[in-house]
Amino acid sequence: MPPRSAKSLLAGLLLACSALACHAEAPTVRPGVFGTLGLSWHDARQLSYRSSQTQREGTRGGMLDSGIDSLLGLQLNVQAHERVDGAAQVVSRQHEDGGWLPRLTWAFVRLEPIDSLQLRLGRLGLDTTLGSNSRLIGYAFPAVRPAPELYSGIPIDSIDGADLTYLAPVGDHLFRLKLMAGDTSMHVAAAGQSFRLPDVRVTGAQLTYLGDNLQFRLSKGIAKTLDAGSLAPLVEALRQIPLPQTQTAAQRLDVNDIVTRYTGLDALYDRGPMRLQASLLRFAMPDGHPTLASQWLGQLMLSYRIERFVPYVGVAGARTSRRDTRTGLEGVPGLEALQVAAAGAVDNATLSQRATTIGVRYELRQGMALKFQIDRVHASASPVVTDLADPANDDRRLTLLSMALDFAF
Amino acid sequence: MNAFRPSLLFLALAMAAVLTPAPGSARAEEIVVIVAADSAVSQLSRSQVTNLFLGRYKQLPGDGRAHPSDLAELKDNFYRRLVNKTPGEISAYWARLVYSGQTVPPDQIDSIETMIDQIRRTEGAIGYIPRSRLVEGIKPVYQLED
Repeated sequence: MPPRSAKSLLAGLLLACSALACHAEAPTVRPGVFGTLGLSWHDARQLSYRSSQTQREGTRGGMLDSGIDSLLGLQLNVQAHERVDGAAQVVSRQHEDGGWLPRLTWAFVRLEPIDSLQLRLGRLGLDTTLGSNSRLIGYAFPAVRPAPELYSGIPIDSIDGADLTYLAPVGDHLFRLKLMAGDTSMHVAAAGQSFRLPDVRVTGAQLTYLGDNLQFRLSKGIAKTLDAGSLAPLVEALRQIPLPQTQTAAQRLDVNDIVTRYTGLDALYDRGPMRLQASLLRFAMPDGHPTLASQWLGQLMLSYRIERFVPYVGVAGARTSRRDTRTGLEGVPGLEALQVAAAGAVDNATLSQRATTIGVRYELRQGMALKFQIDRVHASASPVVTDLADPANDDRRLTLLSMALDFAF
Repeated sequence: MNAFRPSLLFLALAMAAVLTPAPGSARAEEIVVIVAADSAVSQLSRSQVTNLFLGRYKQLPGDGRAHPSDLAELKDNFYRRLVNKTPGEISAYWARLVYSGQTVPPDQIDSIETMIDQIRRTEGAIGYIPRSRLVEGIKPVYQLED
C-alpha cells in the first residue's frame, strides 16, 4: 500500500509504544516469515492475466511468469503484556508501479480488557469474507491464489482504523461479533499505468457462528468514497468545457461521495480431511448512478486430504449487473483522447468473469506446500484479464497452468 | 528487489524440501487434557477443548483466562485425535491466524515434566499428557479417545 495519511495508524502505534513503555517486563517478540514462489503460464496469446488489479504486469499468453503469485512477507508479533500485544507486517510483491519494495500491510496494537473482548487499532486487513484478510498467506489455503473473481471487484486490502471483536459462548458453540471502521487508499494499474482509487471510508459489522465443524458468517458494511481518486483531474477538465456532452460525462465519471453497501455470506464445513467453503459477496451501488454498477462475487471450493495430497476443485464468478460504458463523449469532435480515457475508466470498474479450478496441494513438510493448479477462465469484461490487442474484446478465454511453493514459518 | 528471481529460489527450496524427511508419525497413547488440581474446572467437552487449543476462545469455564500449551512429543497425535487434522493442516491453520493478526498458537513445551510443572504453578494453564503420567497436583478434564 502506498504512503498515505494514517492518523489511526499513528494513534495505534503511539498507544503501542506507551503500552510497551509502561510495562516493566521485557516484551516477547516473535518473528515470522511467509511467502509464495509461483510460476504461471496460459495459452491465450493476446491476453494478459493478473491475480489482482494492484499488479502492473500480468502473465502473457505463451510465456512463463513468476510475477503474479510470488511474494515474501515478514511479520513481528510483540506481546507487551498479557492483555496488550501488537504486530507489524510488510510484504514484498509486484505492485501497481511494477516495483517489489516491501510495503506495510498490517501494523496494529491490540487491547483485551476482558477475555471475550478485543480492540485493535492501526492498519488492519479488510475483513469482508472468510479468508479475505489472510489471502496473501498462500500456505494457509488449498489453492495457488485467492480467486480474483472474489477479490478483484473492490481491490481494497486494508484499512487504517479500528475493529472491536466480542466473543460469546453459547453452550459448546461460539458467536463472534465484529465491528470495524477505517479509511483506505489504494493504487491499481491499468494499461501499464498507475491510478489512485478514490479514498474510501469503510464501516462494517459481521456475525460469525463457530461450531465444531461448521462456520457461518454474515457481513454487512458501507464504503463511502471521500474523493474521486485519479479521476478527479479528468472530471474537472470535463466540467471546464461548456458542452452538454462534457457535463454529462463529468457527471457519469464523478465517483466522489458515493456510498456502496456490501453484504457477505460465508459458510465453511471443515471436518477431518474434508473442507468445503462457499463465499458470496454483493456490492450494491447507489440506485440511479449513471456509471457504477452493482456486483455479485462468489466462490465455492472443495478439498479433500489423502495422506499428504490435498486435491481440490472450485468455481468462482463475478458479475456486474449492468454494464454501461457510455461516457457521453461519443462522437464529439476534438475530444477523442478524453473519450478514450473516460471509457477506459468505466471499463476498468466492470468485472464479469468466471473460472473453474482444479488442483492439488502436496505437503512437502510442515510449513511448506507445493501446489499445481489448472484454471479455465472466461471473462467478458475484466480489469485483470485484458486483451492486449483488442481492449473491447468481450470473449476472453484462457487456460492457466500454475505451480506454487508456499511457506510459512 | 527488482532483481528478485522467484523461479530460481522456487526450484532450490522445492528440492530442499523434498529431500528433508517429514516429521515422525505420532505414537498411539491415551491422552488426557489436564489442569491444576485446584482449578475450578472439573470437566471439559470436546468442543471446549477444541476452542481453547485452536485459539478461538481464551477463557476456561468458571476459571478465568486460559493458557494452553502444546506438548511437542504428543502434539501431532493430540490434534489428529481432537480434530482429525494433520500437522500440516494445523500449521496452515495457525499461519492463517497468525499472519492475519488474530492470535498466536499455544506455547510449545518439550517435556512432560515441564508441562506438569507449568500446569501446577501457572494459573489457568491447560495442557495434555499421556494418561499413564498423571501425578498429584494435576487432574484430567478430558480424555481423547484413540
